[in-house]
Amino acid sequence: MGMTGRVTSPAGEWEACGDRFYERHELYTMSWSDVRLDQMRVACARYAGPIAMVRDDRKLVVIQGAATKPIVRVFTAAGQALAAFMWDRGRIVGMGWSNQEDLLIVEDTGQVYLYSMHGQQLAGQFSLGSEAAKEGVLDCIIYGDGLVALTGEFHLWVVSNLEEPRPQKLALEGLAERPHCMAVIEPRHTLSGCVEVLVAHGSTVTLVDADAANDQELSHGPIRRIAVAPNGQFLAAFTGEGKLIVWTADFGKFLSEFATQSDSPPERLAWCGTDSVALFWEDILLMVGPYGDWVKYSLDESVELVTEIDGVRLLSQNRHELLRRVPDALADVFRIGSTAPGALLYDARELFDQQNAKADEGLRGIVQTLPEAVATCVDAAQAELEEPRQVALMKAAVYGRAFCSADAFPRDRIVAVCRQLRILNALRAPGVGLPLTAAQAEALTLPVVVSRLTNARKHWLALQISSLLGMGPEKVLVHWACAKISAASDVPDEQLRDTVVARLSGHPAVRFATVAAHAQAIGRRGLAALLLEYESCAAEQVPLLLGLGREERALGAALDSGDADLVYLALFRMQRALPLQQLLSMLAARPQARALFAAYCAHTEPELLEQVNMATGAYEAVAATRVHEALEAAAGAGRMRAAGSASARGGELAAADAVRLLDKASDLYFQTKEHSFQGKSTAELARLRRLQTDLEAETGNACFLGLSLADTLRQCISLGNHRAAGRVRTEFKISDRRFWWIKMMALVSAKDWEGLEAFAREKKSPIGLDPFIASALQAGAPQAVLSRIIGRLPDGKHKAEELAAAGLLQEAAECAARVRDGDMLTKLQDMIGTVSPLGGAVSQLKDRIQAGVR
Amino acid sequence: MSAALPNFNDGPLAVGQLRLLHLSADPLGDLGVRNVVYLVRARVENAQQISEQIKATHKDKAGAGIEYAVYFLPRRTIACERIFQEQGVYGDIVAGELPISFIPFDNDVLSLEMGSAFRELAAEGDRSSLYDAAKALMGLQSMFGCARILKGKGAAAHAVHLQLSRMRQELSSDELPSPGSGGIDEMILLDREVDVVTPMCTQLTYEGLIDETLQIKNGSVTTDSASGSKQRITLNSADKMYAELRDLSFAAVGPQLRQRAMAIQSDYKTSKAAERSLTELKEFASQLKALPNIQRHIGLAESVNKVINAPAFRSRVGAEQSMLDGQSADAAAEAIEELMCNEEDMHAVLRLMCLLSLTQSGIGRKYFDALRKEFLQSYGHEHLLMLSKLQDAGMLVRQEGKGHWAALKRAFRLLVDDVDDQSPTDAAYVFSGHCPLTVRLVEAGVKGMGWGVPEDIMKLLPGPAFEVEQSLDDKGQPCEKPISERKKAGAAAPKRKVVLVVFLGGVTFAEVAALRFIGRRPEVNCAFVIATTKLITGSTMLDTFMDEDVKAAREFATLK
Repeated sequence: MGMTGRVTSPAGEWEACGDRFYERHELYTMSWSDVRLDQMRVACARYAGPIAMVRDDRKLVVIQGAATKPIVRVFTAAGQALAAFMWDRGRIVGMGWSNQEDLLIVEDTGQVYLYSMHGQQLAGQFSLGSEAAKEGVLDCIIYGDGLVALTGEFHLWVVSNLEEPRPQKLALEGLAERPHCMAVIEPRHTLSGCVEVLVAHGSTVTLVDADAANDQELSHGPIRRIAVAPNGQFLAAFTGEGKLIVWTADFGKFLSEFATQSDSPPERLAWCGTDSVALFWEDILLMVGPYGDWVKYSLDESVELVTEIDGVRLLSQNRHELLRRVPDALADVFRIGSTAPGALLYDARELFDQQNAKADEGLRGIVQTLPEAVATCVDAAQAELEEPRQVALMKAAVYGRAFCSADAFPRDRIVAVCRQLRILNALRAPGVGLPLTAAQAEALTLPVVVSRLTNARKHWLALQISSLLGMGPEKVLVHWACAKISAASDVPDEQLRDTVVARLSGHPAVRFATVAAHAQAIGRRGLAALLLEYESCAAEQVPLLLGLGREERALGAALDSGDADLVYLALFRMQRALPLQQLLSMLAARPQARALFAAYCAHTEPELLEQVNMATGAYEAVAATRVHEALEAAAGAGRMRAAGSASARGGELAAADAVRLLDKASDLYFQTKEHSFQGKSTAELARLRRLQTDLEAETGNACFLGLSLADTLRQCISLGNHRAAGRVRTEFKISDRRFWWIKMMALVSAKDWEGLEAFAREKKSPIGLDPFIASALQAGAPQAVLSRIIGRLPDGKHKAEELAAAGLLQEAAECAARVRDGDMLTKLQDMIGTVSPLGGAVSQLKDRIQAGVR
Repeated sequence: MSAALPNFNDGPLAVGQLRLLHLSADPLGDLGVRNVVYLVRARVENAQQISEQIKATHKDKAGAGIEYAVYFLPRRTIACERIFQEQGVYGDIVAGELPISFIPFDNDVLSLEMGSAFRELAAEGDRSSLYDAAKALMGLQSMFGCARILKGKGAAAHAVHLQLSRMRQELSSDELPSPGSGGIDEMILLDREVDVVTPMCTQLTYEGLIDETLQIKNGSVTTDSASGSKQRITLNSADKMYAELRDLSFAAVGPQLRQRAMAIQSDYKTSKAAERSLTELKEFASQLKALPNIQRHIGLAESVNKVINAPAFRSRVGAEQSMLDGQSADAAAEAIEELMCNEEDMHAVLRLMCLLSLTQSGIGRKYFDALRKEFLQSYGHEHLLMLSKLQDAGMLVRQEGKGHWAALKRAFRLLVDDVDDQSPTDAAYVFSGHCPLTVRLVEAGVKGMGWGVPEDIMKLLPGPAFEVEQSLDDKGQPCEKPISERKKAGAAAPKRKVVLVVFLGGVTFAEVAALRFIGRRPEVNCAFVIATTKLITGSTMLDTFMDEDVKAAREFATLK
């Protein structure tokens, strides 16, 4: 890079304002020629975005020619025309750009329309609701994510998410006259996370959100202009007394006051970055700094003010300028008489380029602070907007870095800044028209810049930048393809497909479906179908295939994707589009889809599901539904019975219902051979319920219905109704074993020891006596009972063991002695010990047996 | 999880005051709030309940002006939104999503908390849970790096594998994690259907038994404390003692606790406090600090002991082990009948019935209907629907042909005699001599690069098996290759492999314990991370087969 001539210091053009400097930098001479900016309603997008304008019907203008309909025109920041379209709808009350750089136009009826920067109307238009429509919209503020509208009866409506517009009314009530002005604090800056609106009326300002309207009780006279700083922390207001006052955004702290000596409010008031405020009257621009310092500029034409995070853009008929506070690093280097290390390094480099030996001297003077000096030069280069000066600053930095120790200054940073400057310079070129400063680009982030470039159809540049940043090119390519298709309406499908595929193949993550969807949206279904063949992601294919009317393939793709949600999408669309019969036959071959459809229908359209199941012979599914219904009825009956006698009749009816449903279920189950067990079981349940109803009627005791069969038996036994128990037993052919178990357990748990003994005596127990003994012992039966039951054991040894286990030691010993079980006696002896009388007795018994054995 | 979280309080509202309500279709009534937030799983029935609640609340005067927000886990679905549309409440709701996937229950245990996944997969053929599982695994891989080796067994594992490779293909080059670059070396996907026997058995580790007897819910257990009040104990490795005890056989826990208590006591007795140096005192004091924790675990172990000392528990475990041994169907059926007559817990009986069916490839003609009939007569005919579903899931079926249990038992050495509870040498200690098949599979799988199980044996298990290497092709695009044996890298000691074992359909604590155990064995030496759809016991698993309306109907039908 050769140096052509010396780079001049910019300091001569700076204006001092207190201890800071401000500069006005001309970004572009506007390339438009036929624009009368002062007659226009102008909307400039933040971050150096596009400019939209339309004739302002609030201004009196001589209309020339026959065109009475206004024309909306869109330009780049450099004034290159992007679009123009006739506005043949209602009166425009608001116009602005969203964060996505979509143009929003608000009609006085509350209708909001969206346009791309290329003038295409976008989907997603919405209305602010009937109330707003009735009252009419007076004014509207559009901010990045949403908009706030003021209606005819001075109510505020907010839409805080343009993706899902849901008008919400704010809590502003009882305003008698139109507010003087309004400003919005964006949700990302508020404590509540919801949008807040400042409404100036009377002599005060009210802070309004969805829940409350808080009057700030100011007394500065009517506030004519109000603006919120781009960081949402401060607000500036111009009062009726001609003062500019700055508060923190919650009015919590008064920060500064400046008397402008002008009675009439400025035409425009805007923040310049976050630390000063610009005010514009007819031909004067006044900039007021944070400490009451000010700079006055005389202008020869009217300007629009556009706040940026590090300055304010001044847009006029002929020029586009940036007014900003000179970044510190630049001020350090170029301030007249600066002795900052950065300035000295810059000088040294200049001397070096002039082959002046003093360069070395200069360098030596700052050797201690060299890393700092390098950093300042790099920062200054990054902040500088003029390319020659960027180069000079970079050269100074590189020169200084060469004399730093290796790790004193990161080399990567120099490389990164160079890369960033190349990108920013390319963006600023008038042909592109994105005059971003480094600070703005960092706040916006470069990936967003790439997507904005893409939207602006600067695909080539976007690709270059994304590859420089190591980002995937997919999104840019897809957007390019869509734009290509839109622009090539007369190219045949196959040819266009080949063009697109040639450029996009080799990038597997490219979503052909998006391109195909676009083709379909603009009416090229054939092309859409062709392109869809190249989509590798099944999930992406589904919506489009549905749109193309290829339901069956869509369902297949949805199933392939494994995503049940997509299957549902396909199913719902098919349910609407196809006759039921056809849908069902499609489902028949796809059990996965059928299962999902059935699951959904079971919840929403049980009748339909039943119809389908009957038609396809899935009787067991219908039967299961009947069982579920029976269960529901039974639960209802249970609830009513539990609630008391008042609803007893209802309970009876519900119970009878349940039984009827069970009979139906049983019949259905019997339709198929494989489900005969289910059939029998449901029939058995119905029988059980009938029997229980009978039992309740007979005994006058409502304690049977709903019990299981085993519990019914237990209930009979614990009520002592053995006749009923016998009836249950015979009616349900309960085996002896089982009956014995249940009855024994029921008697034990009822602690009916007499009954238990009697039952043990009744006849030979099919389950033996062991369960009797074990259960009785566990339930704490009296020893006498235990002893008598154990006594019925036929085997003496066994008997002795059980007696010992039951703690009946003496009896155990006697029994053991009777059967001459020496081991048992030894065991007992261990348990008892020999000291007690019982111990002595056992010892004797033992001795006696042993004697007998010998 | 289904809870409505309205922001309400009896008095005036303050910021940050929340109260949790459980989801129902009943009107909300006068809560005195403006905003109601629902956090629900994206299920049709939840959307329906929300719609009904909103409609009912609208009818109330008190309900006017409430704003509703519904956050779906893990994502919004078309089906739920359609319900809102059909019910006419779509316009009243702000819908969002709460993309929670894996919930870490410990350093090495992640769960998706999808309780009904197994039932949906096995009985209903509904594979929607696998999509969410694959998404979650992909998320894990994009955070911690792509696993180089991927293997799996079973139909669900195969389906997840397909999803994963598709998702990898579809990621744009920015988001793509490169294989083998990160924290996960190997991923093993296991379908629960490969081994349903294990959850049907009673776990015999400390943690397993706590779960079986007291039920660990969301990483904690509620017990009655000494004072009679309910006490919640959080169980994870933050409790150092629990970390050491939990994977032990329960038989070894008592002695361990005693030893610890004794150590403190003897320390206290042996040296007089006056003679201690300050450092000794400090050490002693810190030991004392552990005392309440020892007491807590003694209390917990006692609660477990109370349950397992009951004769019924012992006969249950006995029956299980004889079924695993392959005893005759007659004896098994008799044991089951006896438990039913003894009014043993329904889930326990059902687990044994399933175990019988699973080990004998179905229950023989003689007992299939008889046992089921007796089951229904004992616990209520309402459970018929559950039996049908278990049949659909292949867990409780009529015997057909000869089963593979004996062959599997032999091939995988599932039954091990003479396990040492105190210092085990084989993972089989977790079921007192029965090693889970899943654990044997993993054990075989991590030793080499491939599965290392003979193909004819692998075929005996349901579903396909696979083993691939996830890699990048020459263009840097994701691809899969057959596994190649790699040369051991030079002299450097091989780093301890991190193996993610994914149980699709649930995992028991005993299996987790067994995996931790084999991970420490020198011949395996792996750090296992276990991911699952849900931490289960056989009982909680079977519980998902029971319909809500059965529970409702049974509520009024208990013997008083």
